[in-house]
Amino acid sequence: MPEPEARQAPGLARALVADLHDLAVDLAVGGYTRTTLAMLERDLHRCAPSALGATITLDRGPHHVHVQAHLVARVLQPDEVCSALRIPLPMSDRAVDASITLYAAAECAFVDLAADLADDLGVTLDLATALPDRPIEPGIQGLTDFTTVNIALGHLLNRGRTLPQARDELARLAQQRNTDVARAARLLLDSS
Amino acid sequence: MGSAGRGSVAIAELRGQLHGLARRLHEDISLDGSGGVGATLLVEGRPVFGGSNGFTEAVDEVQYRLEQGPCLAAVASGRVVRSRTIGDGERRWALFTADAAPLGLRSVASLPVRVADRVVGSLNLYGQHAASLDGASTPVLRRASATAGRGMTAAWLLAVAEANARILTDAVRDREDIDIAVGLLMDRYVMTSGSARVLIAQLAAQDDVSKAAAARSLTHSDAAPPSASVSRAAHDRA
Repeated sequence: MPEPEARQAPGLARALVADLHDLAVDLAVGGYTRTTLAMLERDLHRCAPSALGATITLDRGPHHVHVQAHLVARVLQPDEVCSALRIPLPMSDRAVDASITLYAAAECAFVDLAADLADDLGVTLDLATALPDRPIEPGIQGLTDFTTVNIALGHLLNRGRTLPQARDELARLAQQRNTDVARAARLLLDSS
Repeated sequence: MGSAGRGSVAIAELRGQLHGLARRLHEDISLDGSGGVGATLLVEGRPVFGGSNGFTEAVDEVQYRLEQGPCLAAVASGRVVRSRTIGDGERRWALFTADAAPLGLRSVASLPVRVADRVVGSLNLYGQHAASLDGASTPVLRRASATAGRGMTAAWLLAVAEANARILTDAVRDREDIDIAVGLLMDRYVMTSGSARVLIAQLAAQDDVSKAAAARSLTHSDAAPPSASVSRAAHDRA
């Protein structure tokens, strides 16, 4: 039975909590997240003893920067990870495509969990989840690009664009320069 | 969010998962149409339950409200608890029986659900006839209990993952609103991002709202133009 230990600093969560502080998240929400991360860490090990951690990915479409929260206690090298399982997470906000990818050191570590999720809970899984091909660093990935894009959007808003128009303009600039929206945002800010 | 609210997102997700699990177990055990299956997971000692139908949910509501009944007895004893005389002579759990019998409950079978030899919850079968559960033999129930244990562990992991994703989504949205307002202020008042963030914090404190709410008041398309005090503060900071 899961018994969250809210006051115990969870190893996997430490780096993420620091990033959440940087996210200027309300402190109470940060505390909640620490609790839920502690739950996640313990229950992940319960489901797969060789578990190394997980990544939560938030994807809001091509005009948005992907944000990934890597819940790992240390940098994971690709050759350490022998199993991965991506589980889509239903969100009430349909604009957000969220998923969690679990990592483990043992091969086939998530076979039982995958069966339980699929058979008992009817969850549709990505059974061919690719193993990571680059190191996974603790914390939130994509925040710098995310902020750059948002600040550029703010500049465009001040120049009379609506938010959708500003996003379209950044996307067009990225396409014209054959780059991504984050670099396009940087170009726009540099020219301001 | 107060301590009472902590985990409530995950609990809500978990309840949904337990509903699904109970419905699947109901099909697997092949109960007659009048009965139902409830799956209960203990989280921090408190029961979180989901039933395969409204009848089951109602019975479980009674049980956990009164803190008395076959499921709690099964968890406490670690053994299978059965009755086919609810409302017809059953003397255990008098309070529970008095409230559950009018719902139509006549028979129950509750068994503890274990994970790694530890009782983590219970699986409860409820029938509206004395003989409703006679076909559910103890070996069948034990197999269902093993399935339930794994399913509940997976359900909880999924619920916690969903709660984390939801919290992160909210955090990212707040961050986005603040960043966009920072960009707007930087362009309007030719100020640094640091100064813009301080200004947003000041506005939030002044209006007693969160920084994200203050930021949204600046960037919403229908937002009023910045007040004279904002402009003054911005010019002071620029």
